[in-house]
Amino acid sequence: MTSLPIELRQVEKHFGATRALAGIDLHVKPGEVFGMIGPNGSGKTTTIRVLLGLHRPEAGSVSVFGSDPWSEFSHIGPRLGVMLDDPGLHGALTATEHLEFFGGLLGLSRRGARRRARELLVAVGLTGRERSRLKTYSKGMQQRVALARCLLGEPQLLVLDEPFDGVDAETRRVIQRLLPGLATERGVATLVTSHNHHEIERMCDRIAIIHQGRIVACGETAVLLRSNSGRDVLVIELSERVPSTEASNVFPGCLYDEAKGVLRMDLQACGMTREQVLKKILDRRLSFNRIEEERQSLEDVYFSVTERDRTSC
Amino acid sequence: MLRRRLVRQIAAVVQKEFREYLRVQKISFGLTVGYSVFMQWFIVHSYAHAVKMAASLPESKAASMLADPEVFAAATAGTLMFIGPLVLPFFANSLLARSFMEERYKHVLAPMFSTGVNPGVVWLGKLIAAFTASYATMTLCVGLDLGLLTMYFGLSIALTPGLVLMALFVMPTACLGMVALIAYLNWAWQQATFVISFAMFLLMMGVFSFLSARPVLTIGPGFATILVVLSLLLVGACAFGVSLLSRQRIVNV
Repeated sequence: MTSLPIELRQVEKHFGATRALAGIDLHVKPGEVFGMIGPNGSGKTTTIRVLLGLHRPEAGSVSVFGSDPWSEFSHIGPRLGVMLDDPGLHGALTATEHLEFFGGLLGLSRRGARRRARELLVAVGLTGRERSRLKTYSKGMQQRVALARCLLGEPQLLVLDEPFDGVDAETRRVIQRLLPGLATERGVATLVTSHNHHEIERMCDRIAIIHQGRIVACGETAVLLRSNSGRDVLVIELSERVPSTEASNVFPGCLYDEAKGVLRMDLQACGMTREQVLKKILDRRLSFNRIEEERQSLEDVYFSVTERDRTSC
Repeated sequence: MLRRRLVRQIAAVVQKEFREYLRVQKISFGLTVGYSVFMQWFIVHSYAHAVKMAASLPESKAASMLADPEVFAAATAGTLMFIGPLVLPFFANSLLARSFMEERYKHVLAPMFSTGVNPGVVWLGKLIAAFTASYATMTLCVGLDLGLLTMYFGLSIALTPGLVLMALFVMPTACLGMVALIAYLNWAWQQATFVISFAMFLLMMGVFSFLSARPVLTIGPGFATILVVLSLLLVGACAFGVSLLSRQRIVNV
């Protein structure tokens, strides 16, 4: 086993007859923001709980910084920042007291924990509310406290389970601002799960799609979006307007916006390759401003991949 | 380094527990103190009744003691040490059960354990906090016992150092062992709440029957030492046992 922040090999976990994880292979490198998406019950949270040593897998190997989280978590814990789907706060305490308590668990001195708590509450935008009890906080504010808590010990690996769940735009921005900075400046690795595909697409260097306990697609965000969309769509912006009849004669099956002079071609639907399209453009001496492949959203890729997996099963 | 870390972890848990006692449990805390006071009255009253009943029997030991106020005062004080500390396990278990249950159901344990803290350390911190709060209440109850016994029998009870040691150290330590065992069960076994309530009820009934049957009790220094050592060993064994429990079992995921 190497000392990668996260390395899972063929991990399996059952709950009775239910197979929660069916051979998960996954690794996260230092400084990488790794996203994991999948439908409810697909195994995202179970994967996280396995990583935190809260579930023992029946098969496969799990390594966090080269140690087994089930048996050696005391070595791993101080290097980790964890934000679970439930913020898990002590409602009777104030934000500062809660962070001081966790600072104590991490072995920080009382003064050190207090100073760090103050810094982090400023960083997550909770200045002025630090003396209010946590039970009076909104869901978004509680998520911010949980985020501050997971940054308390200056972690080398962040594990965030649904951090965007029920948060407002401001909290989302706080998360978006903090995480990439930690990855690039301090080499913090991040594993984040979410149903918010847009945020995952924006933040993550690599993404895995998990379905029925298996990773059905995984790769760098741009590559994943290109290779798993299930469709190749070319968008051509012509510099000279052509009548729509001519456009449909040359490129049967394409969508043409005559007013803008934009052709949109689904290559599979049109039964053409990229080369054939380019050849036709050159043969017809059509001048154009741009030709580009239409980028599919993560949402499209997600549906395409999970649907494919469902059909193959 | 490791020791300092452990001390900081335990101190953080103790401080957090006290903050919660004072904020979350103001009413229940007050009610429990009230209940403790009631319990003292109930037991002292029963004790007094048992002594009077025994004294009415011909040639009974109690009758001869009642005839000599000094002997009776000493014997009563000897019994006293069994009454006041009884509050401790009830009180401590109530505090611990609430704390365990609340953190389990508010999903706080998983983030806590993800810091790498040993569950045994958290358990020990909670035990110390609960014991300290209960000990303070117990001290109040011991004082109350003195007052009640004086009121019932019209005696001023002379407290010897041995008795003070017994009431404020030996018996509380024995109770701590009992509390530790129940707290261990509470963490290791999710369905322990009912058993704990029942165990406490049985304990109270047992002590009540014991005192009724033998109104005059004394404990020698040898037995007291064994009791303290065994109790502390039990606490250590429970803490060790908790540290061996899987975090999955405690968090209940």
